[in-house]
Amino acid sequence: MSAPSSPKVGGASGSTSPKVAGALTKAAKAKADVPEMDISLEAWIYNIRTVLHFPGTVLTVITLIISGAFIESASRKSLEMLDNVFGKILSFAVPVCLAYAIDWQTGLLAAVVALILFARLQKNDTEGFLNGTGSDSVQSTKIVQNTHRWFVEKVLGEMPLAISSDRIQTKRYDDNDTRTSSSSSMSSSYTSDSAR
Amino acid sequence: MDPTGPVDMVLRMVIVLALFGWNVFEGLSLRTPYPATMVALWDSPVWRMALLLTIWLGAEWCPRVGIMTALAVVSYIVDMVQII
Repeated sequence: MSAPSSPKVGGASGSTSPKVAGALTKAAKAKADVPEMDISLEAWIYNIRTVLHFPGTVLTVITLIISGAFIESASRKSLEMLDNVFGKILSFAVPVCLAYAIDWQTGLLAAVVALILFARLQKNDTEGFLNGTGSDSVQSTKIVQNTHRWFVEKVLGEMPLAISSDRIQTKRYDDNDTRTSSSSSMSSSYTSDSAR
Repeated sequence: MDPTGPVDMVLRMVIVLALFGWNVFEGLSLRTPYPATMVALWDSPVWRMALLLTIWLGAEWCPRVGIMTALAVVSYIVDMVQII
């Protein structure tokens, strides 16, 4: 890729001035100095990784910090999809992948978020409407269709959409002690309780 | 990652030892109660975000500080999630 030494660089007519020929010579020299561009897939991946490293790190760290801070207040139902083998594998794989792809600091942060997620999943709490599967609970969810609100609801600014349970089911006390069940007065009081 | 000078080295050592003591006496022991301020601050999401950011910043500064911070923060958050 040597620059042409002849002043007749510009064309076949031979009328190119020495000034233009010098400029063309300089351009040819500059072109010769630029290394040939690597257009292979590996080079593309390397370039993309280099360009996106900083914004990717910032976005990942912000996402991890926000998700780690709000896992505690997230509903258990939204986290239940991770409460299986797939979720556990994902919780281990994501920190490792982040440590390889970005840096180990981000991987450490992801591991901490995964541990917080595990702790949150270990905590069993009931929320929302009860299923009513237990023998003692009664499922009687009713949608509120009446626009009239109670005084308490007006004062507290509540607009209930549904009532989870509006009745209470009580059971009489079953005394297995044979000494007290022989009394006739006790049995009559049970009857009166159950009749209420 | 290496200390830039004697002050940096001493500071790293002091923080690592302080976090080690905190983890031994506070984080890993269920009998030791957390300070009331830390329990009250648990409700604040800004506090939780600051704790997580501390892990990342500590790890960027020194790997040992980052790991000790992560252990302390994990112990604190897991205890709070399980208890409160």
